[in-house]
Amino acid sequence: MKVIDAAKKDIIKVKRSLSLRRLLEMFKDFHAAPLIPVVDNDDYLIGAVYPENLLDLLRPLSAKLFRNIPFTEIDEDIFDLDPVPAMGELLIVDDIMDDNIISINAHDSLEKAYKTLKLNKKERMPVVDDKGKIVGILGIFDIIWQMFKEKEIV
Amino acid sequence: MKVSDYLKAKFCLMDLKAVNKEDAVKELAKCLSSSGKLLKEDKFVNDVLERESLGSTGIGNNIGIPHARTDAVKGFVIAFGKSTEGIEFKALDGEKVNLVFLMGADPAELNLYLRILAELSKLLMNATFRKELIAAKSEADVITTIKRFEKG
Repeated sequence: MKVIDAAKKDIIKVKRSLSLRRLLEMFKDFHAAPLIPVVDNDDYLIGAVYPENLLDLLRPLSAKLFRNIPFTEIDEDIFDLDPVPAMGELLIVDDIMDDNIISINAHDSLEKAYKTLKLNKKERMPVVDDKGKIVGILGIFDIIWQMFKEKEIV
Repeated sequence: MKVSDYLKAKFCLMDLKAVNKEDAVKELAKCLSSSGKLLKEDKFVNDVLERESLGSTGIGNNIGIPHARTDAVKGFVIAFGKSTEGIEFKALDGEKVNLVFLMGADPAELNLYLRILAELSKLLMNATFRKELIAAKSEADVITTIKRFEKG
């Protein structure tokens, strides 16, 4: 079973010139932790925005440094900060996106995709064709669904 | 983490000669070259201008905060420039810019860069702070003013 068979192909993607304000409005419409791929004018994948990239705007530097040490997570600090409205226009996707992205080829196997997600502690990742153009998004649940489907449970 | 931890008096220009955005970025980048953190000054300028082409950092109130994440910078740099005449900046409100903060960070310093951007935008929301920066007579005045307002 290939990645492309399980991936979601009807996806939201953005350009790197989109303002933070508009980006946040897009995130708001998702009901689960989303991933928004960033593409250039020809649909080549150049980055991605995950919720943690947005949290980084609120979280103090110290919290980021200690993020992986048990019992020092101080995420509640995000409520002590006071970002100003101007940030909504000052920052654009290009400023905050992750350009070191984990992605998977559409023709790779679902087993490889599952391992890639687990290894990188991601819930979902962009799917690209051989040229690097975005063709979809694959998440853990898409893999689970495909496995149940193969067993004719759904 | 504060703006004053990174902005030094020698990276403040009290009288920018530039009248447009491109020249202002070049002038401030040149001033930063003595920091030893600009690996490629020309590339830094190009990357900042490319970022500007995606969306102006002239956020209104006569302020511009041109910035870029780029491998032309090692670590993090910030410079300040003041222009009495005003600089054509394609700002969101269409007004000229009198206060410019130029920032650059290597891609690994994303978090620091965003935090300083946030701190700086917060300071600059304060009209009294802007007024005092414009009135500052010397580079040392600029730093003192920033430190005073950082304390709240």
